[in-house]
This record gives sequence, C-alpha cells and structure tokens, in this order.
Amino acid sequence: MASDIIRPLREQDRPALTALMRDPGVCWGTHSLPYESPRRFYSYLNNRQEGVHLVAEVAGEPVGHAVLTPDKGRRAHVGNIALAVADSHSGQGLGSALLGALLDCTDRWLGLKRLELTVFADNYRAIALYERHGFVRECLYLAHTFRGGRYIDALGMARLA
Amino acid sequence: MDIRIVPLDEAHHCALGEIMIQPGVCWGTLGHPLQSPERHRQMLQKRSEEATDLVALAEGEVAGYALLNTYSARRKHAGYLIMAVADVHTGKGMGSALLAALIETADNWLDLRRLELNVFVDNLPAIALYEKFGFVREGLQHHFAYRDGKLVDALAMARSR
Repeated sequence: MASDIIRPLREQDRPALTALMRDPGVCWGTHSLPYESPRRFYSYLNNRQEGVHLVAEVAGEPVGHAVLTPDKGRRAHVGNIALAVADSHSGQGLGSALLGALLDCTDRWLGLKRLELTVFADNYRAIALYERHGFVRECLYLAHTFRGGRYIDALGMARLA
Repeated sequence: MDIRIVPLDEAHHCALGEIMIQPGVCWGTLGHPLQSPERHRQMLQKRSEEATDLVALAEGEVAGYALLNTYSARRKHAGYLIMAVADVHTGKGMGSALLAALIETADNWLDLRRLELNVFVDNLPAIALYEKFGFVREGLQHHFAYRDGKLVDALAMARSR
C-alpha cells in the first residue's frame, strides 16, 4: 500500500481509465458499458471539466477515479460525486482514499454545503462506504437504470456540510 | 378560457424569458429575478433535438411551458421534466394541460418507463398536480437549492410504468 497515491487526473491517464470503466464490476456499479469507448468516456470527462478529478495510482498505474462536479446558479452550493475502482483493486481501501480526498478538498477549499450521489440499491459495499463518510439516504429511485438485462433501483444519498 | 398546447418555437422565446423572471416562477423553479432573457433564449436555442418542449397558449398568449429531457444509454427509458406557468395564469389548468401533453408523448410515442422531477417541498399546488398524474414521492432532498435567502428542501418524484 506504500506506493498508493491519490493525485489529480492527468491527460495521459485517460486510456487506462477508459479500460477500467469496462471492468464487469465497474459496469455493475456505474453507468458504464462493457464496450465503453474512448469517445463516450472522454465526452463524460469533458462535460465535467469544472470538476475535481482524482486518480488512485498503484505501482504507477491508474486504478481508480473519482470526480466531484459542482452545480451552478441556485445550486452552486451542491456538488455531485462519482467513483470507480478497477476490479483488480477493489476491496483494498482505494474507494475510501479517493472519497476521503474529495471530501477533504470540498470541506477545506471549495466550501460546498451539499454533496450528493446516486448508488445502485444493491451495491451494499459502496453504500456502507458512503455512510461511513457521513452520507445519508434521501431517495429510493425505482427502475433507475438498466443493468444486465433488467431495471434496477438506486439510492439518492447526500452529505450536508 | 381557450388553452392550446403547441411545440416550443423561436417566436415564444422572448415571452418565456419574461415569464422565467416572475416572482412566482422564481419561487417554484431554479430561475432568479435578474436572469437575462437573452441567456434564457440561448438556453432554449441549445435544447437537444431529442427534447420535447411545449408551450401553453391562453387565448393565443404564451402562458407557460414544460420541458422533457430524455437520458441516454442505460437510462434511455427515463426522462426529466421541468414546468413553469406565468404568475397571472396560475390556477387555470395550464399546468394540467402541459403535463397531460408531456405524459401522452412520453407514454405513447417515446416509450419512456420513468419520468422524474424535483419540486420544492412547500410548493403544494405543484405536488398535488404531480400526484394527480401518478407521480409518487421517492425522497426528500435536503438543502436542494437556494431561494430568496434560504436553502430549501425538495421532493424527488417519479412516475413509473
């Protein structure tokens, strides 16, 4: 674990992160697709250029990604969070490290009052991670997303500063 | 009163920019009183060709509008809607006429399974309207948006089929 680093996203991380988004476990827990293309994923990143993008690096390789996207106008106090960790490195605390770094950044530097996220209702490990970091359940969205041939529900969670 | 629902047209943009800054509309939406009508017009011009944007005409005069955005890929079964009715035309059935037209489009022509919206928790007439059309409460989002000096909560509502 000594070689684990949380650092800002660099342009050259994009291919490795796109590959990670195709992992079965990542598709299971996010809105990614099994054949996630660079065009689709780069457009996702480009639409969030205002955001804080972090990468978890292990042995020189990007194996996790977290993004905080601030909202605008009358919701400028709100940020949205998304996380993904490669299947090969899940369960090693990288999600916690990424989320901790994002929360530290918002609490100390950005001053956002409300952080929100969506997580599939059966992704118990992610839900437990978010609850450990102070997120609470606000909403249950029925048939939120299509996954593996059927519609699944999602939780809306939030953390107030 | 003669109420007609028509697709949004460039000819309606100026009138809608004026409606968006009315006190009652700002109270119930994410608009603010000093938002430039020009910026609102640019926002309307940038709307996707996929979106369904409707205008309510009362005796030929622009009295309200409703927007339906659809998502893509793993959420292409879902849509998100926004509505506004001019302050002088509230309580006359404009919202009902707009919402009925959006739902008819979503159910019978776009095959959407899930319609989502957010509504401020104290906007009781709007909540009653949405419930009349089959929307249910999915959760309460705390400090959803800033409004007239305070952070206010919002309901997340959805209509599934």
